[in-house]
Amino acid sequence: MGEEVTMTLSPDEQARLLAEDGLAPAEVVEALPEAQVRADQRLRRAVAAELRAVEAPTIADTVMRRLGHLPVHVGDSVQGEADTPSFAAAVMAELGTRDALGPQLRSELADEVGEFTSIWPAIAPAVGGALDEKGMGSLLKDAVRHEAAAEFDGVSWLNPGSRWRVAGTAAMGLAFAAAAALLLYMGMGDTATPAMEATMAPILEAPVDIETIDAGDVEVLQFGDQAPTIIMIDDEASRP
Amino acid sequence: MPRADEHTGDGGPPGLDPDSQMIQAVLNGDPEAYRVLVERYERRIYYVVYGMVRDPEDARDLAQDCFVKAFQNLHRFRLESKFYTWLCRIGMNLAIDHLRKMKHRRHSEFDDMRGGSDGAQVVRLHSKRDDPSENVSSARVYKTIMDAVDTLPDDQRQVLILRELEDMPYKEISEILDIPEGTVMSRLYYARRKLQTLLADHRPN
Repeated sequence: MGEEVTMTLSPDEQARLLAEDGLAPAEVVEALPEAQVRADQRLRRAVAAELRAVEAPTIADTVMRRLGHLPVHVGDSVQGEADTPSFAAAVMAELGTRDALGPQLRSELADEVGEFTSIWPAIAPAVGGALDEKGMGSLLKDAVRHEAAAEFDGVSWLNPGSRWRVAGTAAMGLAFAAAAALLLYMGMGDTATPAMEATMAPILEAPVDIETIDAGDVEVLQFGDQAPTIIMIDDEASRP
Repeated sequence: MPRADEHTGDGGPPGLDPDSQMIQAVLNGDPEAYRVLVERYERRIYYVVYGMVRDPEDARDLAQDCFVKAFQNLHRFRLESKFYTWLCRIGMNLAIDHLRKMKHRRHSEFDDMRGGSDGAQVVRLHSKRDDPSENVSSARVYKTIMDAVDTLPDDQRQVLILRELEDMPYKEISEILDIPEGTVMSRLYYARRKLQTLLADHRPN
């Protein structure tokens, strides 16, 4: 509109605008039609309410990860045996899932995978856990399991509508450990330092070996030859 | 490494507001301080961007892009300025770029919806046809209002969103959009009058 290039509002229009924004002096407001002022302000409130009527997601972790910075306080929580559930929340949020998978898929996984070797023992020391899965490592795993349960509703999921679901109960140790490793792998940032290399080595070298699963569409995420594999399965039964 | 919530903004250079103190900390080599800023403004930026693009996934991506881009250009930020104003400008620019990219698709969908009529008729026809009893659900009201907002030109919608969402002063809006304050006022005025026309049947009681 050409008239918008500069202020072109008439004095009456300006008065009406300032009145509906609550910026006009009382005598100006009183000079305007009362019904108009009320209607203007009601509409303004309605529009403002509708603009806020969506749920805003939490994006801080994703932003920091994109910037190459691990949400360090999560790592600190693990090391310090505090706030462990928040780590589980981060894992599950990263995976974009909340429901346990159906029994059919669980049995399919077990059939296909067999007695897989959990990579958790390789991860636990890196995050302050113990090799025998006691102590911090065990706490962390329990927290992840607890929050992954279908009845758990205390987590805000980044992507609840995701089509992809991660392998569930039967492969929980594998998938969650891999997810934890992925978070660490992606979030640690600079892995070039000797200390970081030493920390990451057991994670990056951990074996994960699932090739095919006959339980629907499968998406495999492989971040480098030595990185853990994340397997996401499109499980119809667990879609929201 | 300190936890994000340990960054309070205290102890920074005197005279700087808490945001600028965080920014100074980032520039001094503590990138984790940036988390504080993201957590402080993520909701507001999301709402602003969502108001423009009206797609939750796109809005989330754009909100993330906004913070990433701000971080990458943080060295250009003038510490005496308001960080949120700067952030908002980045978010708005990203949203406008996104809308331009989507323009063809949006026009196609809008043309389908319009069926050759003007925007005002679209809103009224939609609501009356679906709700002859005029017992309009909140979801319907939301859709009706947001459909009406969608019909506004981008430049009017920008001003409206910043004003109604944030109750932002005209002057700050003018800084974000780099337009004169008088233009902010006229765009806002015309946007509201157009909305009132479109929503004539749906004035909140």
